[in-house]
Amino acid sequence: MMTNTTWLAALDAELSARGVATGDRAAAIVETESFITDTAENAFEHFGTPAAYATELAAALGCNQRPEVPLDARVVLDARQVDVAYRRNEVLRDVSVTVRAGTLTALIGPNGAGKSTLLRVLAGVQRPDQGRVERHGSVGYSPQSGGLDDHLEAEQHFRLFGAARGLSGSQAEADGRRLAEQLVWKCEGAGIAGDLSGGTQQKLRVVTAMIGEPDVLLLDEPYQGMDASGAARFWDLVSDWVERGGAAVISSHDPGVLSRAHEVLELEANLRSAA
Amino acid sequence: MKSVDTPKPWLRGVLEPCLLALLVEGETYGYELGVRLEAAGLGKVPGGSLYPALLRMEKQALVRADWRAGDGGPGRKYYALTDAGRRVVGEQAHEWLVFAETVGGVLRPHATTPTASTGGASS
Amino acid sequence: MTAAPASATAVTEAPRSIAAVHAEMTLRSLVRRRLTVVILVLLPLAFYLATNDAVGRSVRSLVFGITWAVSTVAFFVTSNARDVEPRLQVAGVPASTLTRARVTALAAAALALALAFWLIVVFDQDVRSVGGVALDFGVSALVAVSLGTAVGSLLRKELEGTLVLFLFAGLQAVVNPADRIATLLPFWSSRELATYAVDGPSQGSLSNGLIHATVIIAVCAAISWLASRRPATP
Repeated sequence: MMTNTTWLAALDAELSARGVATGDRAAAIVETESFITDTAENAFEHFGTPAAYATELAAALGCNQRPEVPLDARVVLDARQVDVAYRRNEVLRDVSVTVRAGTLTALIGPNGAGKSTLLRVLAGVQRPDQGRVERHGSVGYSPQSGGLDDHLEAEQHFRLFGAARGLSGSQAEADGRRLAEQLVWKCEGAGIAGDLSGGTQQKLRVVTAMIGEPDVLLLDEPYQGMDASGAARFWDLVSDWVERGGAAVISSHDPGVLSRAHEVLELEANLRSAA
Repeated sequence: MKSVDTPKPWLRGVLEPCLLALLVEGETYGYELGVRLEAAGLGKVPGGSLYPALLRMEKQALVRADWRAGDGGPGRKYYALTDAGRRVVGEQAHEWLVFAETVGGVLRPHATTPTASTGGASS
Repeated sequence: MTAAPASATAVTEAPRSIAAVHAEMTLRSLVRRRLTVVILVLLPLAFYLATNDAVGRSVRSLVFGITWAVSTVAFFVTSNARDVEPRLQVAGVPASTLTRARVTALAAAALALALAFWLIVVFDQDVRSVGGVALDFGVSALVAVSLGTAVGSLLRKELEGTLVLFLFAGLQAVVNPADRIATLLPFWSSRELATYAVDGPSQGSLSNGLIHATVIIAVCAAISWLASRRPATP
């Protein structure tokens, strides 16, 4: 069973994912903690799973309303009628999505629904069989796995990805360190990427996608494997990003992402195989 | 005698009026409210139901919250009735009693005494 | 007026081109694979030491070792680049810029290795043409970089690529170099140029060796270019 400390950290992340403001979050955590201390019982007994309790609290706080899409905002990414098939297996059919500046688009659906494929198509890493993708601005892409040089350190990644966006080495390192710190990761002297844990590699992927502030962020399951505090700060980072006018498309099968997304694109599993 | 835990869907309906009623006696914090509900016979009210209810009432300005330093432990949030809360207690208590009376009228002819559990283990 | 304290002078560093940074990181990543570096140096050296008694054999063995080791390392570097380079392309860097930077870095490392082995030969052996050996090692290193890069751009699995390069090296070792079929092997030129350097123009042809090397490099470049235009698969 989860320890109370882990449970509370997970609750913080879940509240954050549901768009609960920092102050309300801190209050809920302290109050819950003091209750657990008083009863001297396991948090799970009283509150259930962190996710379920976070949903309750978010509802009580009125945090479940989806933010409105600013329709006058600039379109930064536009995909029309995208089809992708692997051999005879249709993965995406007639998928269209418009991404505007200052919005978060959630890409949801079960495993195998084509979330990663769509993000690859949006990023331009993969060509669709049909349809077109227009990008009006710079793009930062963080895949679900890979995407790093296992034999380079974090700072070397920062310099490489910074250079791709025209940043100087010191500027890129400073930006990368600042972003890493915001994800509760002290990257100095962390060693080469191949030796990092899965969650930390995920942080490195996200940071390298964000360096140089591209117009659109495309993040594939970005907080998978991250520790709870990292995941909570990740959502803070995304909120801040979107507030400052950045756009983001984030794939996830966590329903928590829904409450903060301006747009939700749900992909269905198992399109008929074109037999 | 051990009190029986109130079924969750019923608790949802009665929890807020009961909490308001307890707060008439003065301000207190969440855990203490839970203890008093149990003492009153409502059974063990899980924190997972208690705090969202308090939060909802705080949002509706029926109660007001105040942070105090706990003795050694983390801080405590004390809840007190607002003027609006004080007005609502009476109304809600009245509404609930009328409702309970109505429901009672429907159910009373069909009520049976619950058979005591024998405790025999069936394999 | 007082002079500004040294700590307050912010030096604004000019950004370096992505090509230069990518080339640097390619080399850093390569050097960080300690075992790879050790094999890169020890494999040709072992071939050389094992045949140290005869000048001709030892030079030919050494260049054989260089081509095998360098092509394998080039394959691994190309394979490794598949992780980072697509993301750098998303960030707006043309694929050709990245490939050029990576291949340039590899070629520089391969030529440095060739130079080091050339120095060993020069001090250790009495060869007919010191310049000929230098040309042989340099050209062979470049052919190996092109071949490793081409194989790396075609084959995704590390085992497959290593086996294909092993096949080329193995055939090179067993096929009679005088046979016509031997000219179809990618490293035919390195043996021809070695023979030219050691035994003189009567035995090996300088121009045939250079033409063969040029053709192989061109074919490998074309393969790499075509493979980079292929749409991605999952």
